[in-house]
Amino acid sequence: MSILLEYAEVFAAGLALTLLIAMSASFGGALVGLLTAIARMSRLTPVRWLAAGYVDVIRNTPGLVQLFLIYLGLPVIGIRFSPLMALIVALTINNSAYLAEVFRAGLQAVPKGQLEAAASIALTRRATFVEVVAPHMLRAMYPALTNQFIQTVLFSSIGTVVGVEELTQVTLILESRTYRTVELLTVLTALYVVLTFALAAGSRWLGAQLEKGYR
Amino acid sequence: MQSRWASNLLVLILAVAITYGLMKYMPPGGSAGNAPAAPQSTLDRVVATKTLRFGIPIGDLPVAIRDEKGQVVGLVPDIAAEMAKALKVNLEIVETTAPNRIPFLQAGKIDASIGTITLERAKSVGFAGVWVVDGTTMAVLAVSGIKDYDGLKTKTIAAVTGATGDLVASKHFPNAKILRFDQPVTAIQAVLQKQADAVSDDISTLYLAAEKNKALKVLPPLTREPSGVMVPLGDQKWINWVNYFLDDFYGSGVSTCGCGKEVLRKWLKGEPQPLRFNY
Repeated sequence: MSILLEYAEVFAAGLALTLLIAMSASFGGALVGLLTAIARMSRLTPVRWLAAGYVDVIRNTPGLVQLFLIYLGLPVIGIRFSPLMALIVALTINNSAYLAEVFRAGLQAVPKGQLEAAASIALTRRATFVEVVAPHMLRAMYPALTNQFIQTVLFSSIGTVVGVEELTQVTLILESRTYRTVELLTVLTALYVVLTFALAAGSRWLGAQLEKGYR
Repeated sequence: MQSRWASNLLVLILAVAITYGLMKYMPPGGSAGNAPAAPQSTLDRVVATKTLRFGIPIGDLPVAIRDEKGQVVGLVPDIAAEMAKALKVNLEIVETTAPNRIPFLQAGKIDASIGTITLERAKSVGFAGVWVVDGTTMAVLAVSGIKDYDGLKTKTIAAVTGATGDLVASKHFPNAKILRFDQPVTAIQAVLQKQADAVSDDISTLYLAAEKNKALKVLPPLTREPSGVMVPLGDQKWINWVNYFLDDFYGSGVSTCGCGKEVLRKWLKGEPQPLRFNY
């Protein structure tokens, strides 16, 4: 395990970039996912079909292929991303498709009675969403949301194929210089385990906070 | 909640302790550079199992690619086939990538592979002789107007992680941004799509790529590198046999076809560099 101390800055930099990528992709994905979920339930048929098609295509193709298309395919029509931006864009799109389904389930989980009660006390639409709908949604969705975040952290390792220096790539580069394969891969695995344990613990804490309003 | 926390923490501590213990007491897989724990030579194992497992990075010519029928063809498959014939065993081509050749060899997943002889690598794997002299060079887009290496000092260079293209670029261009991919074909695509200014890889690979892609221009060679047959560290019996094989294949032709030079000419599409350095 001494290799962890020897190259502490390298691992720390990789870990920091992994977290940055995961957080950006999760926030972006949540925004796009929420919009897609709302589009999925639109009254206009073409909008519904477009949103449903988007979700289906993204969920049924490998994220790796999506990443290659964004990094090496888009330049053909003039859109050029750096490897880091390409990874974040790919993960955002990938996330948004899965989160769209999570948000759709969350929206449908709000009891109709709550909406009727809000209307009966003349809450504005914005106030209804913020004060009534959102808490119900969050409580229903937070396990899926945090799980998706953890999946994104692990999935960010596909960045290695486009050279993004996140945790897995910096470890592979170290390995190609020092050839201490077993030690490095053990440390890498341990770091991911510790990271996901911490995130899962955070998720449980968050859940406890959200449950408070319902005791 | 309390008991779940405690049990999760216990599992985590156990996992770390077990991994640490395994690492300390397992025979080192090349990480400490000791001699391999298995006493049986690779030569004996190959003859006994009647299989030669040759690790080949299948990505670009002249090394190896898959043709339309899905067969692996190229310079290294031809040499490996000749080696298997001389051993009277079956050849099994194991697809590797440039970064995982050495770990595969250390773990015993393959009996031999190929790679440039560097002294750093020679601490973790053995080399049984030179099979080709290649080198590292860079290719740029012809339209970019870059004519020499001065123009690349601060640009973006694509390379394959751990291959000599990466090592040379990192060493000679410390101020450039190096993008590390795991396949040469991705690195070349990056240049073609203007995601990188240059690609640093083997001379033979880039010459052939430039033949297929007229948009690429190859710059003069940066280094001359002997590529050796990589074998497990310290396996002297196997190193000796492979060494004699290479002498026979490229020279005497007593026990093999002796057609090494023709095979090189066929795949490099030119006269190969001499395998011995003249001082």
